[in-house]
Amino acid sequence: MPGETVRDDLEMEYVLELAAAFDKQMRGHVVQNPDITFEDSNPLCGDKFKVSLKLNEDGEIEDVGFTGRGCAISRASAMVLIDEIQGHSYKDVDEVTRDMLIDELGIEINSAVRLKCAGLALRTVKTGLQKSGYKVTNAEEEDWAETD
Amino acid sequence: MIDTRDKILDTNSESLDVAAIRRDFPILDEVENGQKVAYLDNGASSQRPEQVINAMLEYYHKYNANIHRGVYRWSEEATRGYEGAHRKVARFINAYSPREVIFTRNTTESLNLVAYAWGRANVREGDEIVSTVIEHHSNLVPWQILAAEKKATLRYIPMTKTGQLDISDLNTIVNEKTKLVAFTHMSNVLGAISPVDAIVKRAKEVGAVVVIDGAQSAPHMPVDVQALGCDFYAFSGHKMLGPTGIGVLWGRRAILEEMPPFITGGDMIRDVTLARSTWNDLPWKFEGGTPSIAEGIGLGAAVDYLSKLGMDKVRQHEIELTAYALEQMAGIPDLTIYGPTDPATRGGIISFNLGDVHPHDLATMLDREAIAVRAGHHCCQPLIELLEATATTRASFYIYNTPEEVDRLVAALHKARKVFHLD
Repeated sequence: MPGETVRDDLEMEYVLELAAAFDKQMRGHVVQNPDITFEDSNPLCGDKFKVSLKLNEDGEIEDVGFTGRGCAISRASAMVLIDEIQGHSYKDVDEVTRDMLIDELGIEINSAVRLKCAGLALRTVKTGLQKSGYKVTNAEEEDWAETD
Repeated sequence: MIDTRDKILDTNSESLDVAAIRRDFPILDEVENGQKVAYLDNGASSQRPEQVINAMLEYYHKYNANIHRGVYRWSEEATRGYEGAHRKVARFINAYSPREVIFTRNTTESLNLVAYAWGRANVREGDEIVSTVIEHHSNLVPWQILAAEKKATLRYIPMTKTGQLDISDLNTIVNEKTKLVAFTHMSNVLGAISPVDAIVKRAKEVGAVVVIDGAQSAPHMPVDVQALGCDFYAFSGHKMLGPTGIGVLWGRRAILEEMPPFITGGDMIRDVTLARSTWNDLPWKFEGGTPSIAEGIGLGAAVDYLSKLGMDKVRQHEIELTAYALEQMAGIPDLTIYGPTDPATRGGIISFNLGDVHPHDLATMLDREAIAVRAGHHCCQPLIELLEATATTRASFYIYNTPEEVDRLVAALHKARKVFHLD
């Protein structure tokens, strides 16, 4: 069905743009004296993100940096996430869900595997905050809730 | 190239009648995104023919009961079906006796059985265990744990640039200290067939036990455990037309007799007193608890199906299809294909990367074309690191795959170059 194919390509186009924007923004970007660094990986594919966060006294996220490797969907959703949380209180991270990120990407994801891709950056940030004593929702539980 | 295609489609007595085979697999008529699914993920799990599904249905519909010790017809028939499946598997791999055929859940459990039962009784501090850098995690992690527990050393046979096991240093790696050598018969990432004879010969010179991971070979080529000369051979039912939840460990009887049991409890005992227990005969000594009865019967039906086709023909079909695929894929710019290039030295597994497109993204695009492939590290992280990749996309063939499906894959890869801006 040619019509569908065109739509699919356009969908991918936006994800690729976001992924490219992420690559550009993160290339050579080093968070100075980060308060939190945390690495998480997707056990299904071995993709890895290491996040660095700089927070000020009010708990606002001043700077976000990612290193690692990921597919276009995981990098695109990381880009959306950065826009959502940079300059905001860590408490606002709790408001962000994987579904919201996927909505922003403008694609439909039905596969459990790809849902994990879309959620990797968010999971890394949330777990990183949690391990450093900030109160945020357990991202692992969110993983389960949404794939059921 | 047309020659290769025609040869595969030619339904003479020398090759598989693929059209007839496909009629036994109704799932292959399922449509996704307006097209029949090209199922190219057989390395992960195959499909099952009607004959296998019906054998299991018949058990559930007509004689469902637990095996052994039931003195009524259903139980006796279930026992006959389940034990009969051991006999079929024994013939399929040319075991000396069905008593050497242990049903497990899968290859992973079979390999763990060897590591836990044989390994813990026989490996000591200072001993060496040998595996290889191309192994699936299931033939690597159990040995890591065993080595750590016993303070033994784990050594690895390396890989050549073309993805074959590099046995040039074999005499050093496998030495007088080596107690066990475990390696794959066929790489699940590269398709490379291992130099079994050379490794077994060296292992036997030093008196080491040989464990072969046959998860990718048993479904796709003739296997004769006597000719291979190994001591253990492990494989899974679900990769060879059988159901999930049933796998096989073949072991030499003398070794199995000496080994302590693995899972203990129901069905694996002879006598139990409050002070001590003795073990049932082989293979039941290693099949503790109610087994997967329907799945065992289903595996028996799968073995019947493959035996009827002839494993030589299965192998020949895959050599031809792989040769055709490699030819066609060689014409795609930016495509890196991993592993040996000669179809005679490899199975029907092709791992590749298209430019710097992430395999997950590529697989998602192929899914939209109704082409089912696998993307990721394929449970072989050390090997993927050696390939200097983060992951690969993998197409893997079986008896029902056709040159048309290869054509669809190739066309989709050309299209992917446009979608991902490689052209």
